[in-house]
Amino acid sequence: MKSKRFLVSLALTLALLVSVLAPVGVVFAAPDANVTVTADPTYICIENTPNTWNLDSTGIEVDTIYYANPLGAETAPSATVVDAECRFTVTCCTGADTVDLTVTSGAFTGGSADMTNSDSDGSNGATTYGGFCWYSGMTYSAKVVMKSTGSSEMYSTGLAASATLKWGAEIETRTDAWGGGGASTATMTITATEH
Amino acid sequence: MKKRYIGIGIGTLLLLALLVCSCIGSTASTPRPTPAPAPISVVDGGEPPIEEGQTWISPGKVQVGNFYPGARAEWPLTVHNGNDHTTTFEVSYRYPDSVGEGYTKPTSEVQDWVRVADTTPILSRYGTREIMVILEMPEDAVSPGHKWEFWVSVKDTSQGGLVRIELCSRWLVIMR
Repeated sequence: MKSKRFLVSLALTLALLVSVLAPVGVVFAAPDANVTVTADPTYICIENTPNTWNLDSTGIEVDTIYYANPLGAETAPSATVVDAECRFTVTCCTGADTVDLTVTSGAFTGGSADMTNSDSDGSNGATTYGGFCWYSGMTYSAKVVMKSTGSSEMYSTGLAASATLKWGAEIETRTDAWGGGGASTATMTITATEH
Repeated sequence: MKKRYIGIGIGTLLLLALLVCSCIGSTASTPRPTPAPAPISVVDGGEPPIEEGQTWISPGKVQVGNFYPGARAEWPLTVHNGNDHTTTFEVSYRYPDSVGEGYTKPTSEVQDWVRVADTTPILSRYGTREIMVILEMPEDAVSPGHKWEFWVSVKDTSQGGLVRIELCSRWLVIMR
């Protein structure tokens, strides 16, 4: 009889124990939650045309600003940039996700007019050039500095699928003279990331 | 006698509670290895919505949660070659030019935590390939912040001309 009561008491105790500890277990398990990794099947895709820009077909000079402006290599865009003043057109592919755009510009090398990006506030200097980029519809004075790395976003409001954006750039050549006449080349990169 | 049984019951209850709690406590303080997430198919439900002849990557954003020193996270980055010729791509860790609101830029150490399974994949014309990207934080490493971001860059190395295109996948990491 005594052992029966003891067993009943033990069973009740265990049942109580389980009911009390089950939620405690949940609470304790939370800090040990596994790493989560998620991603949506979004697509990043842009096209840009043209992919060339000759600063000035007649040759460039020191300490001069050259614009990727179809209206003139030394013609600055209007206070509010218009399409006609932009050499490049970037398109976000149909079916792709909305993207933000950043432009970087590396060193001019391989010729006589070699110069590196000043990577500062867009100003030029001895052996260094300054660069900016801008797009149609923006206030030109708000143009964005083009650095070799770490430029701010040129377009951060999101270019949607199938939409296009006209944009341009400018380079202010180095302040000190160069010798010879060999052309130097550089690479500008337009980077697309999900908005 | 009844009091004795109740006393035995309560004693057993306390003893078992102590044992179970100590087990749970030790489990909570020991990081578990990160299970490999089930990769999604980027062509889930059919063909990608991008026209053939255009180079794209997917996904555009990977979100990592509950991350901690010693943990590992991985996700396949899909790269599609939109060229009508075989093309070599360059896939690499990328220090972000900008980060999402509330996120910080990575420290220089982070580049050592990111591995790309194939950094120079060669894709046939209109070919598509999944390339595993692995984020593995050393146990003794210090996080750049509670929320931080890095990018994975993809470039078509056959691009010519002055202006090149770079497509980046954003990795947004939130620490535990």
